[in-house]
Amino acid sequence: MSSTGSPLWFLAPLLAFAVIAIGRCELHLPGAWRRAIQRDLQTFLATTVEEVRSPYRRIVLLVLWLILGAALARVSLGHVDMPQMRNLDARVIVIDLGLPDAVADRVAAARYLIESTEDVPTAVVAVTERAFDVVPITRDQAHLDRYLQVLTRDIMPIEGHALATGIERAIAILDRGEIQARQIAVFTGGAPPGGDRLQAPEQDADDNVWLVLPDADKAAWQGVAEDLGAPVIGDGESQAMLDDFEQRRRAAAAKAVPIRERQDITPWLIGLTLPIWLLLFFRRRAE
Amino acid sequence: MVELIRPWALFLLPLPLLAWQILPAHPPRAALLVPDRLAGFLHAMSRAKLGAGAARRLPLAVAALGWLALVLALAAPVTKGDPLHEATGRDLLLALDLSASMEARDVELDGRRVDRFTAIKALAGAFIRGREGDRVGLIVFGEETYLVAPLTYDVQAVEGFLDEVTIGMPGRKTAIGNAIGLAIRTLEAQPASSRVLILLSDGDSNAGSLGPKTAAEFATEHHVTIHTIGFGKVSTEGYASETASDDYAGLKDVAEITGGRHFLARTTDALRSVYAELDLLEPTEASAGGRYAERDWVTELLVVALLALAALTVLDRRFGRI
Repeated sequence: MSSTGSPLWFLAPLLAFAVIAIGRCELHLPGAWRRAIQRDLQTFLATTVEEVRSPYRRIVLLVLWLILGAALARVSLGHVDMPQMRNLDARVIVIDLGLPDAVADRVAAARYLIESTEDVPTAVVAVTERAFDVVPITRDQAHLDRYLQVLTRDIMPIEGHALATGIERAIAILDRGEIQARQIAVFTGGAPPGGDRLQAPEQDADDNVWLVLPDADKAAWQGVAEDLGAPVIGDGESQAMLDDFEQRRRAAAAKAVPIRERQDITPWLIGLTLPIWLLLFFRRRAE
Repeated sequence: MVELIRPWALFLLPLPLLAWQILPAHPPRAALLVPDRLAGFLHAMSRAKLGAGAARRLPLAVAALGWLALVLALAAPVTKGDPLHEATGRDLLLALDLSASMEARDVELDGRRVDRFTAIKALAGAFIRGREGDRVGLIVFGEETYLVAPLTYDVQAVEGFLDEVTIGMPGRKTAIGNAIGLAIRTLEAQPASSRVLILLSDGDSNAGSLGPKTAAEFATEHHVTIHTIGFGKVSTEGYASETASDDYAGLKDVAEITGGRHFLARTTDALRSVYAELDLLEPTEASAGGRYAERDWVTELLVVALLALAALTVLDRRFGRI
């Protein structure tokens, strides 16, 4: 059984074919030879020169392209068990209970997200003017579901709409757990808080904040999304968010397996490349 | 700090020099068959266009750069990334009795007389905080049983939930069997190499639909080990009916059936010792630590080699071989 870390690199040799194809369109002979050779003879001479050139170098280059492409794809043999790390990945769902409209829809969308990714440790934060931890990071689907079922606006002691506070709370949960692959899914909607801008909390790209909104509200939240540096998706378009997180999880898991324990064949491919690369150092003529 | 996985690979770096010196050169071959005078003219023009030295050595420099990148990629440099925390594989639930008898102010904590639950909160909080690497959950029980915190590695959050619970919240009686039942259901839902329930009560079961012994037998079937702690003075004024049993027989039976240990703590100091003993019985692996994510730079070096190869492919078309 084998797997590849970056299969797209297998396409790298196509670049070589492109370069060679472009090169064939205009053969570069030394100097301004066209000025020295009579026009009628130019085609004949160019063809002759192509024939006398040894093809070995082109073959060497093509082989190198193929091997390097495969090496970059990071092919692994066998199956390496992922280590049990408690801080490898987690998602925090922030549910905005500040607006009375469509709270049930937001909760339903969050439940769908949790059910779609059962193996992802998930925490839930509810936010109005203040934010509260509803469920800590857990894989306990039944517990998450039980709490989401009773999540209504009435449970919050104060009203308000301080989304940034909820995101800060989510970041704090992820920081506390020293989580490597992170995602914060903010389920909100209606009119953005404070007009169309938001005092963005202190965060970095690794916190990976996403805004999940009803389709009709997406346009109104563009300014907030820019402030947060967060992609905006409709509540029925969660696939991009799921894919992004999966990619981050895989990257974190790969980093967690020490390179010595990985059964990838990259070192062997590099070893194969080296003697072939040496052929590029042949002198042109005896000196 | 950069570490090389295969430092011996660096010995390969001078090989191109040897290849240049030792490998046989390509035989001289004329590309264009032209008269000598014209050859001289072409040669002069060629040098003028390409540059006398630097440009002609460009393919060689690019090939050398590619070689350097490949050798370094083989050496596999890695740098230390973020810290990783290994899991013990143990799921640990703490079940706390919140029945009315916990209100009895018959224990001392740091020189102050406090109710039993205040003492339990303080000591259990410290115990939970020390369970790094375990997945920890919190159950509270009285007549009813609630899972307050699900199994989580976030021990700080569990401690926070513990702070928020109050006596009498789940009713005033003690349903130990039901608490064990909920614990089994919570623990069996998650894969774990070890499942442990620590059940703390100040009296025997006097409520609930499931008897403690029957629940303990279920626990054994589900590979759950239960350690039980009887806490508090035995006959307390006002709570005598609930704590009259001075041997905590029910708790002892539960521990024995499931292969756990039964502890009796009549004071906060004794309870502190019990938690210390539990730490020894169910050790965490937090101290093992020291593991970090590895950032390897092989891909970046291979990209440099590939770019060198792309440059060589273009230069090959333009200038011919090195």
